[in-house]
Amino acid sequence: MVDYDSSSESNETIQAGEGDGATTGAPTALRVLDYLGASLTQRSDRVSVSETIEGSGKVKLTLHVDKSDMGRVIGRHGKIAGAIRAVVRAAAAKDGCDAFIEIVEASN
Amino acid sequence: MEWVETTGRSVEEAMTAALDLLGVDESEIDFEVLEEPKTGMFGRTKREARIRVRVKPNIPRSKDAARRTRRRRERPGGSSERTSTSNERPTASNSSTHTSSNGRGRSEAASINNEKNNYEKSDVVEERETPAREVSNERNGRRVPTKMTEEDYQDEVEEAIPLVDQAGAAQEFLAGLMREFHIPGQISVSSMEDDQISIDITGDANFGLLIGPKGLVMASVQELARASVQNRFRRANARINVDIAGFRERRRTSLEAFAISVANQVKVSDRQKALEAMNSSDRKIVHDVLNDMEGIFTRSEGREPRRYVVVSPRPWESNGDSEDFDRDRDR
Repeated sequence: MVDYDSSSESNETIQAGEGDGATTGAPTALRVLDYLGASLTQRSDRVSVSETIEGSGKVKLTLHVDKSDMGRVIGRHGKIAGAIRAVVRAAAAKDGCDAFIEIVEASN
Repeated sequence: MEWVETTGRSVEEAMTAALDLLGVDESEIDFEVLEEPKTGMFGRTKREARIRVRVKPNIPRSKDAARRTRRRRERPGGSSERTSTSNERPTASNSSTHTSSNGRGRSEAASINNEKNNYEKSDVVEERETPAREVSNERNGRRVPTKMTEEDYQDEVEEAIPLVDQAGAAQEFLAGLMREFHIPGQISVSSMEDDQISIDITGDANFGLLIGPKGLVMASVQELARASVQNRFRRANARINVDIAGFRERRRTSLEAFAISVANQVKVSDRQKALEAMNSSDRKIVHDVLNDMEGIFTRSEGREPRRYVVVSPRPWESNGDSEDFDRDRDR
């Protein structure tokens, strides 16, 4: 077995990965969402994520994907989208916040 | 492949019944609508929807697929036994009992009879035995599965993707996911048979988050692993099972113990009991474990996702209850 090497035990301090570092409300969730988006699309170069903090203390995470990939991230009957939500919300729980996820077409 | 017919007041209900019956997920089946439902006056069901369903064949159809021996998924307590008629009581004319229709696949019908005999003979590469493989994910820089070009796809059209490649892709995906989660662990392929890949995530970390209540997050992780493998290899056909820290086995054990204790209560009190709503695989565990129990009968009632098992001291009687749908059985 090969140990998967987590980025150290310092779970709380997340490296400012792609410019969305420690200032965000749900850094783990954001990274997980980005990763899932990239893993599930053909045009992973077009994948981006953004985050808005809503008034209620909820965090809105938005996944932008190319139009041609929308079907891939939504899936039949929204199945994949539902799974993305469940996993990203779990990641948000780690960040100690309540997140909801939107999936939109990336603008050109 | 074995087709199974189910009925319901709507196509959706028939589908729910079918998923129950087969104990599989919606993404794992093919179905055909045989009859659309008809409603009579005042919304009364005149004719139920009838659909035919099968578990998706293992090997993607290709030119010579018909000649290939298809291997049937041999699952413990598989669907064929579950449709056995012993528990099925003929109900009224609009009965919603399931009838199994064995061997009604299309072109592969001919091969079905030989299927078992030829079990070893399949020419697909998946046969290749490989020991459990491990993958380490890279620490720096996000590594996502490489994308295939159009030419790759072309080359691939003729061949099934080796199971070991699919397993590797799934491992890689999971390793990346755990890295993003900052949860350390080992990801190993515990088995590869037929078209099933089982992957175990183990370690000392707290995996509660990744498992989620009733394993719901884990189910999503599994779904995403499958989707990512399919995104990488368009023709990927494996069923991927992800287990985290032995959760599945623990869940099964406790669910079985719970089901048995309920069944004992039912026996003593001679009154039926409804369990809380469960997903189809959990319901299957309950049905399976109580199936052998003398004097206990189980059925599923309600609609997804609030479908639940009823444990009863006697077989289900049709008592003029108008809820036809509730007569659906999981087995």
